[in-house]
Amino acid sequence: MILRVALAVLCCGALLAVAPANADLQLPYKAEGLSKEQAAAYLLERFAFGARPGEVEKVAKMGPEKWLAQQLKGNLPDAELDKRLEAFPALKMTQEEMAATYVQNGRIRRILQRQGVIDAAKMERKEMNEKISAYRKEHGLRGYGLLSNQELKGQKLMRAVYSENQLAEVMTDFWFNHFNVTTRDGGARSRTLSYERDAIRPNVLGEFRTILGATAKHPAMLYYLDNAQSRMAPPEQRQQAKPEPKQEMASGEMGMDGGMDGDMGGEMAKAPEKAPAKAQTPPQRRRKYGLNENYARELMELHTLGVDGGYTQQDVTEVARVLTGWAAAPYGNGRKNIEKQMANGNKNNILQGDFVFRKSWHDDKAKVVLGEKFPAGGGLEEGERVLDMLTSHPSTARFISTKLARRFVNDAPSDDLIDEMAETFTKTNGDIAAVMATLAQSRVFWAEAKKRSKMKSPFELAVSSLRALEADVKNPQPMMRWFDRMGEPLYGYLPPTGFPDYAESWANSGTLIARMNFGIHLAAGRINGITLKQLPENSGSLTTEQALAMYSKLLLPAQDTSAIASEVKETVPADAERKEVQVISMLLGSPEFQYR
Amino acid sequence: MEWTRRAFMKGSGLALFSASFGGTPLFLSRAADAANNPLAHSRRKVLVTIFQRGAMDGLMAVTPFNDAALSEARPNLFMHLTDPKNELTDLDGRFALHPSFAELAPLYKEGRLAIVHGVGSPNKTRSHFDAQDYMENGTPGVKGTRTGWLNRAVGLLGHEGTPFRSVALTRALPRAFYGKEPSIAVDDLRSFGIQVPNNPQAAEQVEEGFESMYARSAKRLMQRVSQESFDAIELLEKIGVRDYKPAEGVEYPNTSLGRRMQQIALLIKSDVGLEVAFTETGGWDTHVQQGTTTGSFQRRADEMSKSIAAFWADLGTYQDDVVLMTMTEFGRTVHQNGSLGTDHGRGSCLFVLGNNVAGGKIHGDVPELLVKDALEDRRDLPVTTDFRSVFADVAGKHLNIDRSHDIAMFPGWEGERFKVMT
Repeated sequence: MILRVALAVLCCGALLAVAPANADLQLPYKAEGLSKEQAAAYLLERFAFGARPGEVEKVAKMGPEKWLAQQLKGNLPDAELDKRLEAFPALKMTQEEMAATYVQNGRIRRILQRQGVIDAAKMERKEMNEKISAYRKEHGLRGYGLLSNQELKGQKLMRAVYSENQLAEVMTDFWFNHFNVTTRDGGARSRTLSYERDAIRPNVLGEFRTILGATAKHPAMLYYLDNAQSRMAPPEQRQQAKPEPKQEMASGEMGMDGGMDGDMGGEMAKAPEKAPAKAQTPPQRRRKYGLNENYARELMELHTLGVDGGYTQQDVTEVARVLTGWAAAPYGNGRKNIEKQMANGNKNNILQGDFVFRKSWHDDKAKVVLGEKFPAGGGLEEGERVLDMLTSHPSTARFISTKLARRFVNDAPSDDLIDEMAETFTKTNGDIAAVMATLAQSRVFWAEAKKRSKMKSPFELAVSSLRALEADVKNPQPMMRWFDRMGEPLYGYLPPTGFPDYAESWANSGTLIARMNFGIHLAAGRINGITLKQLPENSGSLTTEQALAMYSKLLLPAQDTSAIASEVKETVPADAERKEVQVISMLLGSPEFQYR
Repeated sequence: MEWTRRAFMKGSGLALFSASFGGTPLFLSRAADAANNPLAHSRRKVLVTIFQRGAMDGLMAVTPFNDAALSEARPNLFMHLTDPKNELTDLDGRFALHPSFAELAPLYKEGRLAIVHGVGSPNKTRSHFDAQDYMENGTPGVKGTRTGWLNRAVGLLGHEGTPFRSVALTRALPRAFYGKEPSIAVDDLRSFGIQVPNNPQAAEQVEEGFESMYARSAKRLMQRVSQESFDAIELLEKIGVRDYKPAEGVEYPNTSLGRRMQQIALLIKSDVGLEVAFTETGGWDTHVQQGTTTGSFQRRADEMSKSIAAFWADLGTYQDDVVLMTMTEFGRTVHQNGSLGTDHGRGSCLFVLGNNVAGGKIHGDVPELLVKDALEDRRDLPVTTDFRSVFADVAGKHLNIDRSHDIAMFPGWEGERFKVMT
């Protein structure tokens, strides 16, 4: 099984693109009037989740170019992170192992019903739940919610805080959001960890075509945007073509952080769910057919060409037809059967990791996509060809460059920069690291350094705080409610667009106050599971000035903080105890710290 | 939405303060001549929505008590009118209200409460996620729609709003509120404010520190949003969100929904500019031991019914301004399953409450006899009314959104409004 993970990763194309050697990188920060320290601080804000203590000096000393070249390769050893990730056993499991380990109560209830242990028509709920718990214990099963709530979200936070390969983590955040799926979708939920681990993370600085293909074939995306249900109707059934009923877990559990609400969780947690029906019912047995265009549309509108990228509704339908038969591999016997068929030379189903191409679901007739003819009988390959076409389309080069520039430069990136990046994208046929190198070497990028115009997302805000104060995160869970409050429930954005990436979308009355409260609670040691090495609990000897000097340097390195300093001095009373706590609270909540 | 502190100060809370304290409090005296401000003292129409997540069994909430086919399909879940222990309320000789919705019966009889039965989505998905997504984005079958229908409705109001115009009492921003119109999403209004653990006295000082820090920010966005935030905090304090006393004799259930409905009532009665409110209740996914007069359905219905009834009574003279509408993503199977529950179905029912509602009536179409041939896919209560036609009528008429804007509220929809408002 572990072997299969490794294979899946390889299939997905774990190869990182060859990044420019550091000698080739020219970062024009001096031309924009920045010192080496300022350049290092800026890079750490934009290409990392913020500086750790001493890191600005370190990067300045080794040279910003060298640091960036390392980050573009993304292969630094990560011993501390690896150790911390041991707390997340799912990271080492295949999708099928996860499905077998993290199990809903409803599935156990049905097993026990079949075994005659439970009679749901007669037995008291309490007794039923006891039987279910006993079964869990006996079989070493874990709660279904642990996977998508605790492990998935927890590992994201841990990686962002502790990984040495910071740019890879920033890019993982970017690409996940670009190819968004959500754990609030019952079909995607238990597969999102694998999605990020297998389809996104290995490819974030590689070839665009690779990450595009990996997301297109991943079950999380196939379920989230319904391609797993999209199939060609046999002629006699086309009249009543309709999508199959898709059932999934109860909404009561679909909210943030495990339950929609504390006092709703109680009943819901016990309410047996339809286990992901798709995982259990061999899809062949279903007899409902119909073309579903959701993925085909978003593939062009959101993943590649952009909404005005030059495709028509007809193209959407044609691409949907091309992608009929692109489905999720079944688990268990279903999978074994396909493997057997394939070994016997039967080409009806083609298995690739967790993806399967089902010839019998595929619309095999001729098609025309973006003006190009696809003769009948193209099979799996015609879908690959569409992804190739989309990758090399000029609209894709522009669209992806625009989104990257918006994330890394400013909310309204200039056409000149986008042109330059798009040119690199086209020239390298979508080498992401090369496009990033173009961005980093542009004057436009460095001209933003003094403006600090990008508002941090709540995740960026929190992670930069934790890094600057050298947090020891023993338990990432208490942070999750803060992400909800600040308006970025992790893996919780419902539409396929992903979270909008501009300041106005992050800043409203409720979320701005939540940001301030986050800083206050973090400084006060009131977020359980987190301690700050830069703020020992027995601290309390500094004056306000001393605390300001120390923590401004940590939190807003290489910046002029004189204006905030005077505000803070007015706020912290002369007789306050532990002035550090108040100083940090004010700095974390300051408008300056909300930006990068 | 550009919105200024001055307009807000002038426009909000004044009525309440002059009434309760006999004068304008200090922080409001900064406001200039209120007479020049169109917002001052103006009471707004308010649409309050409750999403019942998990899919409510409409056939149990409002049950066709004469239906022999339903009785046969649900040997353990059918509720007979004649059985006194069921305590059903006969609404119209055909449908009866579940006993745990009893508090709604008087509102129905007074003609303020309408029920639409057989309502649902034209999209046949039986996935909670997809169906909720479609009901909130307002575009069944289309997942990519970026905004939510209530946010679009707010954008169509045609006048300026306060920060409290669009409020969700939920833990995360609901899909229906996604979009460019500013909204507040907060679990509990009492936690809206600067909180300094262990040292509440310091909160005011810290707040002032932040206030001046943000006022001097070079970022205009930070200036504006922080000002709105601090004004909102101040206002919530003044209207007494922490020690709100409902109207005489009104008692809300001591539950999450009860508290949220109480806070919505407070916002309405305080004239802070609320126009669209959203909250939710979970636990309707009754696959196992749904129960009749006791059980999981009954507990949810009881909480909801009591919360709505308390809310309505609490509003007092504000009732004229308010319409409340419930919604749920789909209904449940006509047949009970092997666990004495019901599975995911299609049509369900919804409630609309207000003085301008065509109440005292069960709208919509439900087959005379729920035999298999009359069912959708031979298993479910057929969807005979598109939810959008009801939402468009309720939001459109109550919030004064012209029929010609329905296509903006529900892109791709060209149906007629379903007449549930007078």
